[in-house]
Amino acid sequence: MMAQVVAAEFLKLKRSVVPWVTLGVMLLAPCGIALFMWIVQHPETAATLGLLGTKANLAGLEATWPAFSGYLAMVAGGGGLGLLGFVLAYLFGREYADGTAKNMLALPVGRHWFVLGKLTVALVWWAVLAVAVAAEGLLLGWVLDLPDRTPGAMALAVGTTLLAAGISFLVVPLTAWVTVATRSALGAVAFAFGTLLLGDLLGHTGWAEWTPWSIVLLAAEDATMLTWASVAVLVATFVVGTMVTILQLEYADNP
Amino acid sequence: MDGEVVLSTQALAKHYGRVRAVDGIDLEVRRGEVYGFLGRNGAGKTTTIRMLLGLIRPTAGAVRVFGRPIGHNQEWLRRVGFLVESATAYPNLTVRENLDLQRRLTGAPVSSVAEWIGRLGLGPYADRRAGRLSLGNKQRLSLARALLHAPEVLILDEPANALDPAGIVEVRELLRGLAAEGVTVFMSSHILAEVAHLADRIGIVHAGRLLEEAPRDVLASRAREYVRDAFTQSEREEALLTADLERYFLARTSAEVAR
Repeated sequence: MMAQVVAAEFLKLKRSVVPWVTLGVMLLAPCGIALFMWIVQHPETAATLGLLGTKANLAGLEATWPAFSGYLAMVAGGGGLGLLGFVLAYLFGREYADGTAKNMLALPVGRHWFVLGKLTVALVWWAVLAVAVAAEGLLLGWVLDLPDRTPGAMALAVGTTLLAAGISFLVVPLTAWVTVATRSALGAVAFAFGTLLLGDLLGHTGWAEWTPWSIVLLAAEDATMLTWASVAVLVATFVVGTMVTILQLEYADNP
Repeated sequence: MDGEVVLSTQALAKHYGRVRAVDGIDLEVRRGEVYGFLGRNGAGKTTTIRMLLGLIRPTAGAVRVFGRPIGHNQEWLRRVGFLVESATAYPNLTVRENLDLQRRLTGAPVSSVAEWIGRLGLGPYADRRAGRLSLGNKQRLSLARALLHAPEVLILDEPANALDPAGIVEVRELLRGLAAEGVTVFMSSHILAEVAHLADRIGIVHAGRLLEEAPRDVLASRAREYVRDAFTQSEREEALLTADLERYFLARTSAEVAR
């Protein structure tokens, strides 16, 4: 049944512009980082850009491969909390917006299959975006000719970007739950961006290691921060998020 | 009417706080029967249908389909087709794709998509996106979706919604044909004429309660008695004139459609 549900979920995306919009948004981020790197590399030209040059200098950016790779990972991690949350909100929320939720939930298919099917589609969707960002990053880094470019550094850039993207996927089922509980994508998008903010704030406290959203951001910044305890928190968040979404559809009133 | 009870409710109730949307409804629908569930807007028809399909959970009472209480195993829905409230479809998919999606998830044969596109007159719109269909054609698409997997029981909430007079006649004929083939139909409506043409038995629901339930002919004779006593001769003639005009209008427009 999983194969049919996943195929159906992919079919639902046919002609949708949303996957292309998310790809566009994701691909913009490395361009922005590369622009700042270029400004730092060319301070004279940057000076002619006025405020933009000043801000770039104030941020204390380094135009190196390790710095560039760190920012790429932040795009994947932070993007995961925000943009992937949006993807989940879209996949689940459109059923309510289009009024198709009632048709879907009264099919001779266990409701858990729809949750798992939509999560699978989100995983594939997110993997494509993450790989695209990593590939674009490699290309832009090569074009910028950043110092410290070694095969090891490039592999690390790709690895940390994909790792950050991967662990961010573990926290988003909670966004799916917010969508089905509120029957609205809007509340879920607010939740996704709220958790991004919360993750950033709590990342500066002693709770960072135990707060799933902070773990994603910290691990994107420095993969060595990812302890076994943090991994356990992320896995537990994934399991709880998935289960509460299934239980919501199974036991709560649906439209 | 004799026969196996395929759909039943026992003291079915749904309360939202102090509001009793459905308040202890007992129903029995037998195989091959067409049951008209008649009530005004807000009477509790859609809430009852949502409970029949397991979309919302009753506050009290039970729903049994094919003799078994409905539960989390949704396999019984393979034998049930439904249309709840407004017609809906995936707007970015064509009519054919919407039906193909349904076919994959219900296990209906591939040929059923073309069959129901043809039977419901959706041929000219088969490759049009559902979001660009008229309300009437969206309703036809929803009916096709409900019928695709050849269900034994049809649960239809206001099936003639948004249809033009010719469409209403077509759907009526379609449901009459399905009933003749032995499909059990449970249909709700707030328009008596819509169920009077089809139903073997009619239940009148109001404020969440089943006020009256009787075979159509029994209900019709009660109605005739009531009209004779409560209305003047000229009022009755006026009503007959309206009914005649409606029939004439339907006949004329159906002839135009056929032409």
